[in-house]
Amino acid sequence: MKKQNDIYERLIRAARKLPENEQAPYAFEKRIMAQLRDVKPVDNVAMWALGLWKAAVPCVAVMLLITTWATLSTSAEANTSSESLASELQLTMTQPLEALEQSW
Amino acid sequence: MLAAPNILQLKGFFVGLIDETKLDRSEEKAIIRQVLAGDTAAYESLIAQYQPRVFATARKYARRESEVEDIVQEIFIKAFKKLDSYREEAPFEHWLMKISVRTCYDYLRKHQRSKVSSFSEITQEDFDLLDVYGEDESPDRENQEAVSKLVYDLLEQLKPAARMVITLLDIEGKSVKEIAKITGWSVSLVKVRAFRARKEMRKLLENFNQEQYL
Repeated sequence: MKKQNDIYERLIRAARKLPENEQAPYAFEKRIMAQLRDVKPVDNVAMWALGLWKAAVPCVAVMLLITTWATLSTSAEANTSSESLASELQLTMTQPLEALEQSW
Repeated sequence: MLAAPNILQLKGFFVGLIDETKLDRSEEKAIIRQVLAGDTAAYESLIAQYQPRVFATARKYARRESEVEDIVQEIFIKAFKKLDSYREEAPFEHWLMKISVRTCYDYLRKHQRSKVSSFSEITQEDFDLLDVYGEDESPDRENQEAVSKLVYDLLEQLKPAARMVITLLDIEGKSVKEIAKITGWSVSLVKVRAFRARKEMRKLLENFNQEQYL
């Protein structure tokens, strides 16, 4: 263990002494700037707005579908139920009279 | 009294004439605001200012120059994209170094090389060299390159987290708290990883027969 520690110490001492190589290729910043031409900084508000706009189209489509379906089914139901409602009303209104006739 | 944009224009004019153009913090802030306002070209002076530091960092983790350039490019593009998240209380350099180290770590994780090359390639002369280099006040270029290769070969055997911790903690001499801030790991995680990294390194060094040497 002591041996490994010793080698490790020597290694780290030597590594610390190594000079840093800060050299950059000529006009490297120009290369990055060329890459950045198409990149824009991330704007969180714009990103949310874009997302919401994209989500708005399917939402409106779903809303229209549901509205159409609800309207159609209600009107169809209304047609059939209005007839039965009339007969039920008639029955309800005439029921006491019929009962009265029977009792006489 | 010159306005900030005028100062920047003058500075930009002299960039080509003076090798080292250091920006102070107020100038940096002005440039960052300009970039955020849509003046992308202003970002170039920030790249020119910090690229030596970023290149030095990237060279600690990547060997091939083409890889180093790719890493540096990625760092500056990431920094540009995230510029709106930079808070002006801390120096820009610290913020950029965080991005640099994290990008280097991602690179290490993505490019984990096969650990086939082992100590059989490293001779006792190489270890002798460590002593000579450590003592030498003005080591020659040849020795420097040999030591650099040896250190790199050894570090390359480690797992990405271990390599990162040893580089930051033991070689660069950063504190555990600083490493936690830079990497985004918790203090206790840095300590655990440092312990494991040193253990891993000692295990690697075990493989080398040092009986004659020591």
